Amino acid sequence: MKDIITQYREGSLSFPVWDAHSHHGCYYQFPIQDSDAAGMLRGMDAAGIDAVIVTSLASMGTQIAEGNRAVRDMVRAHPDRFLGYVTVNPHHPEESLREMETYADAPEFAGMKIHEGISQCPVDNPKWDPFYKLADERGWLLLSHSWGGEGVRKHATIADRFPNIRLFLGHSGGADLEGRRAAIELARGRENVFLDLTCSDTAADVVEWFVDEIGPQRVLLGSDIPFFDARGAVGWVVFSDIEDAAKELILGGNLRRILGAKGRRLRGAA
Amino acid sequence: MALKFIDCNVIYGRRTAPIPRRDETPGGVLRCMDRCGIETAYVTNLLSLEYDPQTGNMQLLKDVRPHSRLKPVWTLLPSGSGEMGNPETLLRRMGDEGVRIARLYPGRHNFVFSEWNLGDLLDALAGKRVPLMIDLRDMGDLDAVYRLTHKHPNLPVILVGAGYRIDRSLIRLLESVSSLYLEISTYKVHLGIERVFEHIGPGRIVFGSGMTPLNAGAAVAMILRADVPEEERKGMAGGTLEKLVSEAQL
Repeated sequence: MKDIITQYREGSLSFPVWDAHSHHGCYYQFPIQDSDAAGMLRGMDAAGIDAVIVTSLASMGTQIAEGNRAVRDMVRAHPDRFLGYVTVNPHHPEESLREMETYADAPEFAGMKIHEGISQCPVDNPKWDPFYKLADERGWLLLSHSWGGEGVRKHATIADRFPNIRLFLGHSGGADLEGRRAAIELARGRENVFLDLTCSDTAADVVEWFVDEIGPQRVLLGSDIPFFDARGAVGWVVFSDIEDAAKELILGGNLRRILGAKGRRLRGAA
Repeated sequence: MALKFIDCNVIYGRRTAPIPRRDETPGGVLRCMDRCGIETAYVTNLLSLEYDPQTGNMQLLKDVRPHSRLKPVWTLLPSGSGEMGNPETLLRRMGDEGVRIARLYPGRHNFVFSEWNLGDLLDALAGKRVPLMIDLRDMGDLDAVYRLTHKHPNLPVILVGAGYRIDRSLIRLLESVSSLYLEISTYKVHLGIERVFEHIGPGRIVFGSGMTPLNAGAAVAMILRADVPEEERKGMAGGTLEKLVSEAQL
């Protein structure tokens, strides 16, 4: 068997690549072009990604039901490539909780996504509690945006109070060193916390650092496609200085294990 | 056939506040180049940014001497500051020392990026066709880039630090200035490489890894998997930069 770098250079990897962090929709600060399913698939194919979990940008704001419905339709159209997060805004609790109930057992969704910045509500605000409670009862995945040391540390309360939630720490603190250090501290000793690599700043040695500190089993590929180009995220892991077995876990093995039956329709599922 | 990667954007050197695990020595850069399949890298010493450009430039020459795959990039200052001599003498020294690319950091080094302050230096660089790298993260002013590159159309300028947040202006800027080249280490826009190629045409994107702050593999993957004609992919990986450097008359 050729090593992973050689496989990637020569064309494709010998195992399926699954990505825990992608989007659907628009954002006012910059253009997100080619963001429909066709554009997403083109970007995923270019990067060598078999499947992604998608969250709606619209649902973090005011178009909660519309956004989740668009994600649902995308998953229905391409069930082997996409899976969804139900995305909610706690400032509109009735509509958001209804969304969670609506899709609780739907095959198109694997968990929930929150963004304290776009939704303008810190993750430790009690407004989120009904959502965490529901996610905890159902053992959902929760992808939560985290930025900076303080942004990460606020997540401790979620991980500790709701142990059945599998918390995907979006961006793992983001581009600054303190944020990444805090992410490691949060994940250390909390088996329900997973470090999502998503970041436009593909800093040297972060993959290696995370693996050294918490092991490869709780580190996840995240591309943010179509916010960012997914090739950078995959290349960050492929060319990192870690064992191939660890790369395989990060590039998809971990997510397959975590999703279990929820991921059965995705390309490359066992 | 494997792509020949030539990296225009590496900054190495001891950091005032070291980052865990990171090997920022020339040896560390070479090991990363080997792992990522990068043949040659144009490098700058961090001292040039964080202490003094002249000291950093001199240290750089010593550091790269034993390593034929590392090529020096000098950090320059406006001639009016009196720290680097007049532009003609400066360019002669660059030629003598084998330096073929220059950088400017108007933000960090606190000088105005405008014609009245830099005109003589940019004229000299343009006259010798010496590629100049400028980093948007350092200066943040696209309009200044537009004005100066228009004023010096023969000066090849490599734009570093462009990212998704300037994407509503970037294509128009590249359309407007034919001597401007986009370095891709931070340009992680979804299918952005393809969009720039489709709108602007071939030969305007160059490979830079952004080492040692960034992981080189991300930028390598962007080029390896770019959905562009093979000839253009070779240009992005190294051909375009190689041509620019070969045209420098030093």
